Amino acid sequence: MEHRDDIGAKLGMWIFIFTEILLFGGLFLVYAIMRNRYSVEFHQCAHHLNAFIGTVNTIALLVSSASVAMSITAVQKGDKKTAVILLFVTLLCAAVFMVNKYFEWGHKFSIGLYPGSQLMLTLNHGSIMFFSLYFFMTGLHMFHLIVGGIILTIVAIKVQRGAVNAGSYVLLENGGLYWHLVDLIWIFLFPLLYLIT
Amino acid sequence: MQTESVHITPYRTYAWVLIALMTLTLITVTVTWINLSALTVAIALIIATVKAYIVLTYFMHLKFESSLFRVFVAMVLMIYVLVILFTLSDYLLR
Amino acid sequence: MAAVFGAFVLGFSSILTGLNFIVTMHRMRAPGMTFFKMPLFPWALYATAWIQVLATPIVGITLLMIIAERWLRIGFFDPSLGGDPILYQHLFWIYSHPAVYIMILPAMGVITEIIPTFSQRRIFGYKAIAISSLAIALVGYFVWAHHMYTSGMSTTARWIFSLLTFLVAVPSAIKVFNWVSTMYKGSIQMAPPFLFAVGFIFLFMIGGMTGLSLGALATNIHVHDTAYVVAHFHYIVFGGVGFAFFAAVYYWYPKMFGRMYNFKMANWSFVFLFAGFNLLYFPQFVIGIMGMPRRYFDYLPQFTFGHQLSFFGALLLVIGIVIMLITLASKKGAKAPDNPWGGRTFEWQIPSPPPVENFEVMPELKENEGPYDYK
Repeated sequence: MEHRDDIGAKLGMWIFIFTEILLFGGLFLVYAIMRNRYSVEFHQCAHHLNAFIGTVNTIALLVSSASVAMSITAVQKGDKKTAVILLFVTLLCAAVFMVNKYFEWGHKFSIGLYPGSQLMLTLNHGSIMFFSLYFFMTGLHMFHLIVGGIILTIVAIKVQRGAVNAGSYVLLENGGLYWHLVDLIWIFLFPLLYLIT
Repeated sequence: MQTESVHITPYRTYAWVLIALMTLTLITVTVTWINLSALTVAIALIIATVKAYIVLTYFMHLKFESSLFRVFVAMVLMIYVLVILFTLSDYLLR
Repeated sequence: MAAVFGAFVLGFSSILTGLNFIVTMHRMRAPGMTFFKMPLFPWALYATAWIQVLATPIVGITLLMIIAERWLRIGFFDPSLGGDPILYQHLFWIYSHPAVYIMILPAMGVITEIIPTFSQRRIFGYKAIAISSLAIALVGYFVWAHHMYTSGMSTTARWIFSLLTFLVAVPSAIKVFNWVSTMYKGSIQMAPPFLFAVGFIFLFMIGGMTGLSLGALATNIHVHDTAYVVAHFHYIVFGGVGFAFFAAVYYWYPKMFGRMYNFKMANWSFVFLFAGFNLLYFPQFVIGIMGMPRRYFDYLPQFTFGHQLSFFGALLLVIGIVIMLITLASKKGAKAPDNPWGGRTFEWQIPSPPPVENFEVMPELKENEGPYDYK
């Protein structure tokens, strides 16, 4: 019999998640120090972010997280069809998030606000830091979202083919954990960037 | 090695958790319309922490895993908070 | 920028190694081997693994920020864009100080294996050593800013980090006491690995003591960026990690290659290494206190004698390394028995060199057996 250790696999995934938390943790540390130094500018710049889009994205991510969690329940019950549909809902929410982000970033780019742009370099130091942090943090988060999306697509295919089933679903659990991590980071990014007006 | 009993969380739990998270999101958004000056960030962070706690406990199944996982998560978060505090001991007290 | 990205990717190897070790130690211990029956080398690796997992991401994100600074002009550390270079120092040392514990902890683990084997005595204070490994890992995570006393940090931060630096010396000292106590009344076998282990204790103690004087705020300001720091660092990382590495090679060489080596040659390599090492680095403590700055190839006339001593020490050191390499490279030694040193841990119960899959049957630790039960 092949050696299989689901708890071990999950433990490994959790430890990987710790490294991700600390990766973003370093960024939040930079944020804390810069915000402390330039609190007035951060305050003003946050007005330029669209809190409505941010809220929609938050809700999209929360729904996607819930549907991943539910898909685990579905797989445990052996309900393949529901599981795949739920994973599809998750990916759909991720797509909504990405489209929103595209418009959000696209708008900023169109008015010439992007890292290293002429406009950016004319701003005061606090504003440069705010928008640098904004682009860097949401950018890195978006990268994780895309990776998570790819992972969940692969998992969804495996669920469809029956490779992930009621007897062996640790892959889905780990993929879900990664997705929740993406959600977790956004839970902190959203108020710190959009809601400090 | 599938000896541990499997815990199946019912759909209903997740639905309630989702509703709770949505409510908290709406609260945190509405609070920004009221000007509480210095308190704003504190409230936003507290609500975010509550949300994170809910996600960790239910979505990430910490409630149903062995206590080892909970100990690890608590330890890592504690270390991270200490790192922030020690760094701020430089920046805030210069 | 490519180099920075390379360092970032390298971070993954560190993280994944740590991840692998932690999960392995939690899930794949031999039957009967509880955590407190595990040999102390894996204990040290367990502590190391946690540092690798928790510290490396910080340098990872720092490297990403540097890439963003050079590529996209997102200048978190660039004062001309509103950034803060001291913040870079913080982030860098949050990783890089724990990184030195990544080096020294496995070295301590090796010494903890060698001392009881060659004294044929149960390790003194097993639990204290195991816990002190974890304590070093934990406290060692919070001492990073003692590299930055002169960077313009707040006074409060400076004394906090000085205090924490003193604290991390406590578990290290506990280990030294336990090694020495283990030897007491043991039947000591003066083989090369043991010589190197004892050499380690001596050099590590000098390195540790001078580390304390560097951790103290006032003296640090005086000797900051002098050869004193260089000497301290080398006493820990070469005298400590290096000698432990040599000890480990001499200890496990028979197991790895199934051959013994020439003891006489090995002992001579120790004599040259030990004498050369002290002659090379001890004078640097002295000229460091006299004011010789580090990172300069040139020096004032009053430092000439110290530099000359260092030079001759370096020659002896190289001779020692060459003797060691010759000793280990010649495979003419006698065939190694399964257990040449009388060790009690599992690896000595299988043939040398180990066969594929290592163990014919799953090894098992009986109810009242420990890893260091010598007759």
